[in-house]
Amino acid sequence: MSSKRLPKSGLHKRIIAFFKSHPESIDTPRGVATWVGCSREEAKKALDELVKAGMLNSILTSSTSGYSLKK
Amino acid sequence: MAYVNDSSKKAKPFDLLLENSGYKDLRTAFDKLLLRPLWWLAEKGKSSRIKPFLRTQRARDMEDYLSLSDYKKTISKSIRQAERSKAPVLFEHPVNNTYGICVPLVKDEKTFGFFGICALKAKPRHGTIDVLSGYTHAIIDEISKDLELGRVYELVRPRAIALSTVHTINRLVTSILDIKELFPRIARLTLQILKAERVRICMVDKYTGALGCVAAVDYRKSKDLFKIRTKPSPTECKVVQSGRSVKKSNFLCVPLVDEEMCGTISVRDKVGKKEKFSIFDREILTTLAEQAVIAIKNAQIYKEQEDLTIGTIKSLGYLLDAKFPRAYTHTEFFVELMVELGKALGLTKKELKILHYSALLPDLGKVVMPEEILRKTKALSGKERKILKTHTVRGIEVLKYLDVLKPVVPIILHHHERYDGTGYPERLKAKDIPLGSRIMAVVDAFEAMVCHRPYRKPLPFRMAVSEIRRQAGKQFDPEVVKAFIRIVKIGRLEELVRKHPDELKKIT
Ligand SMILES: [Fe+2]
Repeated sequence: MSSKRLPKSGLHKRIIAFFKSHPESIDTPRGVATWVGCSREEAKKALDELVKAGMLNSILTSSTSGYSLKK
Repeated sequence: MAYVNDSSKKAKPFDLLLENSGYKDLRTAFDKLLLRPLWWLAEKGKSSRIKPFLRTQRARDMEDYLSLSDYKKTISKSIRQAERSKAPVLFEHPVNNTYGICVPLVKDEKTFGFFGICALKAKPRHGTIDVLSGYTHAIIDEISKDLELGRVYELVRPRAIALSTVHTINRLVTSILDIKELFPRIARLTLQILKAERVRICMVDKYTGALGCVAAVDYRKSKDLFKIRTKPSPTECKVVQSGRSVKKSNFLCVPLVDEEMCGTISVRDKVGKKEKFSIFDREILTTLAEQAVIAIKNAQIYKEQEDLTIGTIKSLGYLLDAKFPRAYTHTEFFVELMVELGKALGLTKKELKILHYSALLPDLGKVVMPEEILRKTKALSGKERKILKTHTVRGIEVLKYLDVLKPVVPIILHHHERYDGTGYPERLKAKDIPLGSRIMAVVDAFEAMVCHRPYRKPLPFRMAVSEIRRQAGKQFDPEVVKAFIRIVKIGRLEELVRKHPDELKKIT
């Protein structure tokens, strides 16, 4: 398996810290942006990178995406 | 104040006071007036650590220069005094006969620190002490409000996060209209927010009234394994009968209720061996079940409407078939191959649905053709062929009255165009021809070759495939042909042919 690059910026860490302290949470980029204190766009980009790195789950629909901690 | 970080520690009033800009202003305002004394602060319990409050730029060559540490003993004594009296204390430093003030920092009748001045050359008036003390209390009131806000925030934040999760789930489930996709999604979301190992959704059959399992996930076995057990448990049946939820330490089951009982959703085994399901879990699952029911009902209505549309088109086909079998309609094989080819070309679900509708009645326009042309088993004359060619245009005249079928109009209108631009009705070329029509052209030709016709025998499967391949770039889009060959190679086409043997023979 190819080695997954783990994003390590402050924002990535804040997002992971948020999901670890609220493991039952499923939230949209807008929601996560509010909880970690950044813009929706920054949150969306970081969330997708964390999904790619295998740390988060994502559910995509036509109207929104939901992100949660991978079990 | 930013409270966005989960790891932020509880702010202490003393630290907040140090950061308070009003407090710094107080020092700036009085510094000159009091002839630049030494300003200090000490936290309660740490009174030995008397800190300068914003270091003063005092000239070291001043005759009577003493540093803050030289005053420590006197200040400590005043701190003890102020702590007892909970009131400002005026003190004198015996070494150089200067004066100082010590103001206790009190919040909710508790002293949390001390603030003061020393090295005052003249004895300060009571008014000065009152102003300093009053100002300090005003700032402490302001800090108290900040702290209160922080406490409210800490109280509201987890609830706001939970509410946001509920809202997200609502959006995630109500956006799905495909019922087959919806149940697994509800199941997975339930596991996620309830932190459970297993989940099962059972639904009451609309016609028989029996309860049956529609989705189940068991994380202990595989993350993505959906094991559908046909038989629901007695507890699930009981929940449906009573309409009341059941909570045990390792099991939770709530009813899915709309105007009537729809089914159950149950979770088993909390993640983390010692954890048990709580009444809060039951509340969460009940809320989730309420959202799920709305989404399920929407998806069911959507499916019913879709079935009605397809049923209506099929009924129309059936009526037309009664008069001229297969003059207007195609085989199930034709419909399935269209969708299969659409999938191979990566069409979206929405596009596949349009392709499916278009495959149901592509030759509807023949309904207005003279009967003798349709009945004819021999080769058509030039004039007859010209009339027959108008079936694409006539077909869409019928369809335009059905709003839901509007997206299929271009597919049907152009299904006799050829990739090289020699087809009809508009002699469109290559990619100008809608993709659905390019797909239909291949499937239509293949079906015609492998089906029995009154005037010729069907071609063997392999020959029909090579004929399609031969026409790539001429009659057919090469990319569609490539996708068609892919279906052949993986054996899917043969599977479809085998699935409908009678249908393919029946066309006479
Ligand atoms: Fe046709």
